[in-house]
Amino acid sequence: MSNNFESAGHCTRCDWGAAPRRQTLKPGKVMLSVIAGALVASLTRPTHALNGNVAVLSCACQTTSQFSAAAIQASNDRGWGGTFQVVSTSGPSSALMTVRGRHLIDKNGNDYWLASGATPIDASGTSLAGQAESAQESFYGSFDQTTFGVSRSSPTVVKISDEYAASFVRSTEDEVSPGIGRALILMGIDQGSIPPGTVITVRFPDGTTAEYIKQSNFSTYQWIWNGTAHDKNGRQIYRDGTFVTNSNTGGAGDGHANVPGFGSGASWGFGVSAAPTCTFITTITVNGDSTDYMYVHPC
Amino acid sequence: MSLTRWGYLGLTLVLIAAGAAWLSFSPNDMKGQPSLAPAPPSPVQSVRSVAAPVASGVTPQSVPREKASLSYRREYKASQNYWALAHSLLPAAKAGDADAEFYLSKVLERCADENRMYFERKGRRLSLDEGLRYAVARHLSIETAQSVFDRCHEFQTEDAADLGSSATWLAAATDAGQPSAQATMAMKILLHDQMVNFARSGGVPDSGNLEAVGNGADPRQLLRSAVKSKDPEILFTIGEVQGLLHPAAADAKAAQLTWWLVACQRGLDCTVNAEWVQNSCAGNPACASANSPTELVRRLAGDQWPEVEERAQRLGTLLDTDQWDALDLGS
Repeated sequence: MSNNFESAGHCTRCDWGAAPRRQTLKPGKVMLSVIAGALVASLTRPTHALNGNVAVLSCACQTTSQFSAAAIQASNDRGWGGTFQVVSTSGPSSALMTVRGRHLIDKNGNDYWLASGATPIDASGTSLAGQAESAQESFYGSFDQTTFGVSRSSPTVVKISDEYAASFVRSTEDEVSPGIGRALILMGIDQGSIPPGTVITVRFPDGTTAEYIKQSNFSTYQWIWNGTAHDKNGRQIYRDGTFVTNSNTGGAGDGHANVPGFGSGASWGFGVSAAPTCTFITTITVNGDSTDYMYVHPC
Repeated sequence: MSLTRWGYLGLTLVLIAAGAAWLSFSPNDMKGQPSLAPAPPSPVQSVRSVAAPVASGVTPQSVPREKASLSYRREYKASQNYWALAHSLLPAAKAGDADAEFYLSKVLERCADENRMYFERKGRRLSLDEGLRYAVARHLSIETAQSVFDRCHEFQTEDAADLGSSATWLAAATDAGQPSAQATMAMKILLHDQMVNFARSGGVPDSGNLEAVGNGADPRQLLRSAVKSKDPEILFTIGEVQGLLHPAAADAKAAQLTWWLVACQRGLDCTVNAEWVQNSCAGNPACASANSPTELVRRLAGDQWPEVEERAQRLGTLLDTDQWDALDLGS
């Protein structure tokens, strides 16, 4: 899948976070620039759809068209296309949108970017276009929980005792699931009150962390791993401890979003920043105290 | 009385009996038929399947499907030996009895999960003594571990291949329009879809390895069909899937508890001994002290209780008046 850095050739030189370009180009230079840009683009063509910059922003969005409109607006404001992580302020929902468009020259010879559309994608860059709206919105809900490691409606981070598992690495669900139940009891949380599908983050004694998803209350296993785990330094790992390859080796990050939590009884806040080191940094604040920092999936 | 008169009388009695049977069976069967099931069995098929021989003899011959289903449910809940129960259900399941298919799938799944939880560790099978000690080490109930051993250990020691797989029986029961199977399958599909979403949203490269569930069935359609039974267990399951049906909604907990309250009020076992209460309490003494449906849901709801109570009243009205489209189960 191509992104707009390829189609826009010369924009591969764009500096993320920089103001939209407003430079005057002469027609000959424009042609030269396009040819040179195309050459650079072909040489540096990303092998991965998300192998480029990702900008973070927020909006009061829920539907695909709302996320799309916010991403297009941000793209036009910034003067470039690419991938935009849009975090909703009105519900626990986040979307990744890839914005397409083109660079145009206005009547004064100024180059400007005009976004023409946006497509929802997953974290591997695969398009969600063609899926039903309900399926897309389901993905946005899951992506939000994966981003923050918790549900923004009931953010829960548990520390599991080494009576159950000293590390996430090579742990098993018959160890971790009861350990989560026990940790929740000690925190005064009844796991029956947590709706199935809710994600919590489990912190192990050795500093590894993993996301677990609540199952049916009729299930023997009330919690199972959702596929996302990190070592103590925030690098994404598999269950055997080997690293998940960062498919996005070429991009930096830009932008920051502070978004609210939902539900009653607590004051929760969430922040996500796109760092230039190809990671996101997530902050969770409960009742005014920042209680956790997590590095999540590659940018 | 001549032979001819006896013949007429016999014929009349047969016709009356057939009419009475039709009148008594048809409404129940029709009521239990999910309108959205892909290929709902006819009432005749349903009755015939219920009448299929069951080795345990618990299910009476020629009873309405709902009664048969309740009979299977009681048997499932009362059983102390799932190995024997599974073999008693097998003939009826093989004969196409959707209720037997569903409860056989439940038995197989439950024993597989519970044996793994209590009597396996790192791929190694544990003896009873080892399993009990492992349960204690994890603060799990030793009584539960013993009960799992009593009910399920033969699934570890004997060849269970003739019983088939839980997934296959659940799919068969779902295809036959068995409401509990439909609700269970819907939940499995929604959880599976969410797991796929998590893998994709975490950028995990091998996310495509998750085994497909449901053979393309629409979970929302299954729920819309299952809810028409108004079975409290199904209402509970629909409560459980609220967060999955509406992942971007901020009030999944209140929605879940609303359905649970209605389910408990309509007869679901919500006391300390209920399977779901035991599972979800995880040994929490405070949790286990709840002994009435209202008390349990009220405690889980916390300060959302007034909202849950009000929503439950509205939901009850919608169910009683068959306003299926207003239940927000998706289209």
